[in-house]
Amino acid sequence: MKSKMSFFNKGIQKQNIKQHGWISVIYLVGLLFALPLQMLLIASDKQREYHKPVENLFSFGFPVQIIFIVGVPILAGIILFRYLQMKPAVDMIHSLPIRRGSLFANHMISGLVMLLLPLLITALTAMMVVNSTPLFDYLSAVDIWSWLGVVSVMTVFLFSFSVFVGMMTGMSVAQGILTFILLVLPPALFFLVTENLSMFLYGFSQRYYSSEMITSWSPIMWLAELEYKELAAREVIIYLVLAVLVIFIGWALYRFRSVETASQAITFPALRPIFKYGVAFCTMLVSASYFQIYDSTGWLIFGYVAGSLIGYTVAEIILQKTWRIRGRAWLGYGVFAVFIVFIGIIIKTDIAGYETRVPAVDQIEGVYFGPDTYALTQDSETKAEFVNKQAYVEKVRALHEEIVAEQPETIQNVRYPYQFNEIAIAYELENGSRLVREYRLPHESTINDNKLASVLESEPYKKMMYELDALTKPVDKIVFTPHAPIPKSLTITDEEEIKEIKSILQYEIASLKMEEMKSHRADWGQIILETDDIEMERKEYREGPSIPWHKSFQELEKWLKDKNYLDQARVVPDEIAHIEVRYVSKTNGRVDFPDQVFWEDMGKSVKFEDTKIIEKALNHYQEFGEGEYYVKFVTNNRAEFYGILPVNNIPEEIIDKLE
Amino acid sequence: MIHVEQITKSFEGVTAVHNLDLAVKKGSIYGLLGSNGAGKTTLLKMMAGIYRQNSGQIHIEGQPIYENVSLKQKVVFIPDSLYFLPQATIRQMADYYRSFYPEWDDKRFEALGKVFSIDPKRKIQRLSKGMQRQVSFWLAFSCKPMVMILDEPVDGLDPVMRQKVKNLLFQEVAERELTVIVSSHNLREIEDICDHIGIMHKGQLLIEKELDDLKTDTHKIQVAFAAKNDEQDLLEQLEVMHHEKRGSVSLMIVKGAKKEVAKTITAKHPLVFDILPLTLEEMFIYEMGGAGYEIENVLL
Repeated sequence: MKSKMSFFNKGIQKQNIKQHGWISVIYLVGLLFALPLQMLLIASDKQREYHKPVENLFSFGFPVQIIFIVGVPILAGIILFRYLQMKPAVDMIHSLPIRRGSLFANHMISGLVMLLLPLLITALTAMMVVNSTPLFDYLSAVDIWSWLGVVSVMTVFLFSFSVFVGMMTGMSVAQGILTFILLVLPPALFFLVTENLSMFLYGFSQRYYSSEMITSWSPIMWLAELEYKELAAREVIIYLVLAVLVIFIGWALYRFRSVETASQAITFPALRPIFKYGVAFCTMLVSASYFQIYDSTGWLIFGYVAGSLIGYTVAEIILQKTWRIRGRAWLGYGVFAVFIVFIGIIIKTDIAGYETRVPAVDQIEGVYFGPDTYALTQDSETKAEFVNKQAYVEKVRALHEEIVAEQPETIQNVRYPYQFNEIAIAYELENGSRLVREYRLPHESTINDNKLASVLESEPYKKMMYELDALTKPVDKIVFTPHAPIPKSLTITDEEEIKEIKSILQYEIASLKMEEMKSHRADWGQIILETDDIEMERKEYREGPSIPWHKSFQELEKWLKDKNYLDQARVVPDEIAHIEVRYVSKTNGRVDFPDQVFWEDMGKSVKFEDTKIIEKALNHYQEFGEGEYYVKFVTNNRAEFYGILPVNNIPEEIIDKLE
Repeated sequence: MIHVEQITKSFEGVTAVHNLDLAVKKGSIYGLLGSNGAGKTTLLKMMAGIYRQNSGQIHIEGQPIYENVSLKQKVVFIPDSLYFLPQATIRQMADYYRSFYPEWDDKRFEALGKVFSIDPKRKIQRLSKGMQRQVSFWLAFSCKPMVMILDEPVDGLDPVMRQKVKNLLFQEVAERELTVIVSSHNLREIEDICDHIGIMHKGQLLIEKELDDLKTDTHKIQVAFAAKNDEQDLLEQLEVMHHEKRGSVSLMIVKGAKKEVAKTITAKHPLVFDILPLTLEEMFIYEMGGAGYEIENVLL
């Protein structure tokens, strides 16, 4: 009596290993080359001077690892379920006395075994390499097992996802392409939607919403960052749960899949409109984002129409498998277009009052005002601090009200960052939510300068921008480092002098005016406040809190001069051998960067050695901005630095010579 | 044995099989005829449990076939376009089938090897189309099925092999009461093996007949009478399906027992009287001509 057929089918397993075993071999060879062999190479390299301990095992041969970790599982999902996409094969296999559930399970099992076995062997080999050389003593078994854990979970996820996509399509090529697209779709779509919203919603901050965090929504992007990221158990668990979910859905889809849909682009009729309109929507957003950079409404509309039309057509061609699309199919595009226009109108007319919303004072818990939204997306020590001082809240609110009422045109062209003021305003509201807006205001706008000044010149803003906190705390050293390429610096260690500098700086910052804060006039240098016991972490990146040394700090200048420190603290005219000034007429409208003007030998050039002229140039040059007179400073040591002389502060001798 | 009730299947809005009923008795060979696109393959694939019908029911031995493992273990389907696992030899393919069909018989496989005389170590994909079809029969017979569903099975077989396969089928039907459903677009190819014939057209079954009934019941007669009245009487007395005159000779297709018909006619003392053999094709043409179908278009 023959035994009943069990769930585990020997015939399928044998056939899969015979026919598709090469997947396992490729995976194994690829990973062995990327990881243990790479480690051996490092260990046996005689020329190696220093091996920096790595964060995790991904740091060895990372690009190769990633190609195999992403590519092979997806390929395995395509290959193992290839029979579903081939008409003769699908009929033959489904005529056999076996349930679809068992077919699915048997192919999943052989796929998982073929993919996970190479991982285990690679991990064990890596373990042997680690144990064989003292170089890798800092790597523990935990490092290896956590590598194995992460890669196993991602392998299972990517394989299952590829299979899941395979259930929805009847073509292996489409399975591969769709798998990749869907794997990056969540962050990409989010980016595109926010990018497009920022074009139409005044004050919408794309950067706030599409911060780095969204890359972890894409398994591929998430994997690509593993080299320098700490392995987060939370994300690995999420992907494991997703893998199980995707396997379950894949199995369910298989049960309802019609075998005759092999070679169709999308196997489930219900998914076809989603595919069609989804493609049209995405290409529309991509195309609009592309045409948006030209800053013209006409081209932007062209971008929307062309993008959606191309996407819709391509999707129809794929679904109908002919490029001759019939008239009736365009009806769908018409409906789509009407819908998009409708959505556009809703957004543009701002029915929800997004653009004009400024929370009432009694709803505001705290306010943030800064140059960008970066600090708002951080959760470390650089996190944004919300201020709840009534006066400041009211000043920011007043400015915000003004912006919202005036709505000065947003500068779309971000190539020349000094042409506008970037402003981020955020409120923490009573109900626990946040309201974030970002504006790029032109310098010449109808916004009342006093309102902007009242915010910029207020204490909380200066405290954030100028490290005022550090000035009230004990400091062991104050270091003045000049910006010019001159190898010198001034270090003050005397307690009395430190006290004096601190109070002068507090005075200088308190009396800073908006014009100086906004100006592009080059600073003399940085003033670094050092304590002997600053936390290690901070020490790694910079010495201590630093304050820009604006040229308007008159009192500080005077103090340094009196103490005879000035020559050490900053560049002085005597150190400049000569300056070279070039005049480039702005009639062509282009904006040049100072170093570029000199490299490309633009315009007429004159040299000056007169200390008076050099001093005036030094005092007023800008690092960037608009102007027609470009200056190159050449130090006595032949070092160079560049700048622009602002229109209202050009020494007459220069104008005379260049005219 | 096999009961198909009100079955409908459509692809992308195109109906391939429409409200079709069909019944096949155990131990019979059922021939399914129809032109290309009539829906034969779709019907067979539903009977084999490959496609799922949109509506209606298919029962084999009282059980639905779709996703029914224990039932499918007794059913073998040979498609018109054959598929074998890539690179597989005949023996490897046999191993594969053995893992699915519990009734697989190794002795039978070896015995059939002598009939087909192809080396089982050969890779199937390197064989000619006709040899591949032989392999498919070889494997199918070795599974010892109760039902065989054959889609255009004799395509590509040479006459000798065709006869061998037919003999094997007869043998299986006689010994084990195998039930066979075989499709073809050409009546002549299968008329000598089927005991039942169904004709499909545009997704529906036009006619279903037992061949023995047809053969014994329908006759082609040539008669000529001296008196005109005699012929007129005859037309009234007999069940005439078709009548045409060629000069003085009348050609009639008549239904009824042969003896009775002959008796009736000879009683009128005809000048000429012949009972001619009727091909199956002619039988269908006359049978269906009455129903108003252009049968020539259906049968090819």
